[in-house]
Amino acid sequence: MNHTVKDAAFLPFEPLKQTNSVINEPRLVRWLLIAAALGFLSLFLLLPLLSVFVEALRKGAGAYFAAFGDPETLASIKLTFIAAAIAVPLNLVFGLSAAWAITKFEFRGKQLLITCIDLPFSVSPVVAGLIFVLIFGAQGWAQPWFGDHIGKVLFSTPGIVLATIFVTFPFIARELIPLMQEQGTEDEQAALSLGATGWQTFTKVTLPNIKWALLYGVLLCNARAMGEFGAVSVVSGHIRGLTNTMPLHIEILYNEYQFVSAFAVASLLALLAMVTLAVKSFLEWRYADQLAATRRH
Amino acid sequence: MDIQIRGVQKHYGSFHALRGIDLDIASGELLALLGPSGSGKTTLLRAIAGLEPLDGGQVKFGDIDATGLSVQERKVGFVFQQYALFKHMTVFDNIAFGLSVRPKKERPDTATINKRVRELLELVQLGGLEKRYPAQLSGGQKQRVALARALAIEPRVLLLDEPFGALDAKVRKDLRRWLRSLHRETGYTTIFVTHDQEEALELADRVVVMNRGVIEQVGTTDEVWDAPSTPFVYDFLGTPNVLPARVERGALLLNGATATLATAGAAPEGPVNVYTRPNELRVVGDDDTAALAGKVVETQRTGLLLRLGVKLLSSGDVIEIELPHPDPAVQRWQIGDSIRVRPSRYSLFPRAVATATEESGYDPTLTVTEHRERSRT
Repeated sequence: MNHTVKDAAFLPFEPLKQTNSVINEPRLVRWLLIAAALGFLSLFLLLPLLSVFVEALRKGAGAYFAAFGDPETLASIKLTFIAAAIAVPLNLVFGLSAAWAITKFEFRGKQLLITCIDLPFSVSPVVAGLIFVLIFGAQGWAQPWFGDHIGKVLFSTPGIVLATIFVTFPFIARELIPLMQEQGTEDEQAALSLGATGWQTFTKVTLPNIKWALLYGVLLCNARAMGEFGAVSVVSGHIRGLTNTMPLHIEILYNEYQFVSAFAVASLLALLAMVTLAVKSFLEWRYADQLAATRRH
Repeated sequence: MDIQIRGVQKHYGSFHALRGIDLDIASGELLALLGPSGSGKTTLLRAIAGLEPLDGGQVKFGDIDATGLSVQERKVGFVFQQYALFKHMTVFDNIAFGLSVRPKKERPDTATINKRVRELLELVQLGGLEKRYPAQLSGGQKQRVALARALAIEPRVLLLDEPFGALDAKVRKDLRRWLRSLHRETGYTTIFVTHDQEEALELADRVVVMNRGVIEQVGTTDEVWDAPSTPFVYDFLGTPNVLPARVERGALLLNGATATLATAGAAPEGPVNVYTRPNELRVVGDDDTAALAGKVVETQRTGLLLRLGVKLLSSGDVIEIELPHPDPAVQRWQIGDSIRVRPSRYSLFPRAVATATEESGYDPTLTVTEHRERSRT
């Protein structure tokens, strides 16, 4: 650090382009690297995405929009939104509490909690779905009580919501833990010493400090909640118009050779993902100065 | 507000961070907690603030027993080492924070808050910067915002953790002077933590020297400098010469030398260490029988001082002497010259019988300063 500052004083006497010659690769190498990255990106990401839209619009806009008139399709869209609308806020609360507990307190079993949070990442979604079948299925141990007091879990909306929560719950906690670990607890201590209550400290100091990571976690969690296939497929029972989410519905349509409808619904799912990313980029651009301010520390 | 600390204990697992601290701080005093890292000074500061729960003992603010009070209830102004400014808030909002989070009944109205923040901004000489964010401030400015933020709640006591630790030397000096005058102006009871002895001695009314969870000495700058009460304080405030000696029948015998010195007070009989600072040794003539004879092995001129390394003939130890240089009485010393010196001022501390760790030269319980000292002599 000191060296660069010292050296900088002599710079006006030297041509500027030499300053970082060490990290400047020959032009050919640079072009090759960029081309490789772009080529890979187009081949594996952009092309498939584009083909979804092309397939969806193959028979014209009329057929495309007609696909959304189907009541079963509408039901699947609705169910997807319901599942995400329940799973994401719950995971928001859970992720925040878990990250808070892990980063601000010392307690026994902390490492175990961190490992458990990662469990949904390491377990196959199909296994996750099967867990719920074992618990709430016809022979499951919780079903007699649940069946009598609350109602059906498996092959209905609650099961789908449960599976979605299970699969998406690491996203927010994982996003927050490293950031909150890095930030430590001094800001909170300062707020407390200035007379703020615990809740004021949380809303006025902690939350603003982590809001970007939180937002990013929510967006990722939402994207996964809407797109989840494996776990939901196991618990859903594939009852048309009732327990099919968008990904499940797309599969059924595809298997029935209704390509336009299948790709139309798929394009909606892809569009949602793209909107999510666009919202994130917009917010980052809009609050760039704030972001820079929080990161410079 | 005056503070009384009685028998304060703190453990971190098996580490005993504070071993029964007793301390009285007068109202309006500017007090320094001085010590090496791991001495417990920051823990004590945080204990006063209520940021560390105590394992035992009592903290009183005036007549109020603060031991059971929460951080919020203690109403202390705490300035953190890294300032802990709220990054997403402007300077203004940072300073206003303590007032704006008060419950509705006690909260001043917006106009009062505005007025108070502006006064504080003037006080810390940051007028005009209220719209900036912390990231847009220099280290010294951040420090002053943190101070203004702590002062905004009209604290019972102002606590500063290594207030100048993160600043460069020039800014540090300016801020030190400024903090001194701010203290005179506002009159808050102020405690600050530092590992820099110069900083502590220059700034504080009284200095508390801490080591390994205990207080070694409390006193004014003059007291701790002129009469260090333990070898640790001697070592920490400078680089003394340590000469092994014996006290026999009221006379002090420097080991291996014939020199005898009058013992200062009633020193216990037996082995002692004589602590004397390089500037407390005088060069004397051949007729002084109590002097230590040696040879100059090193000369070094630093500014107005001449520093000599003298190898004692009796023990072979090298001691360091500082002489005022442009003094006509001072001879032009060359390496190899014979010299006779005598401590004009010194302290005696009983010497423990050498243990295995001491002989091996490495004692893991020693502080950095002590290690440096050991390896030097």
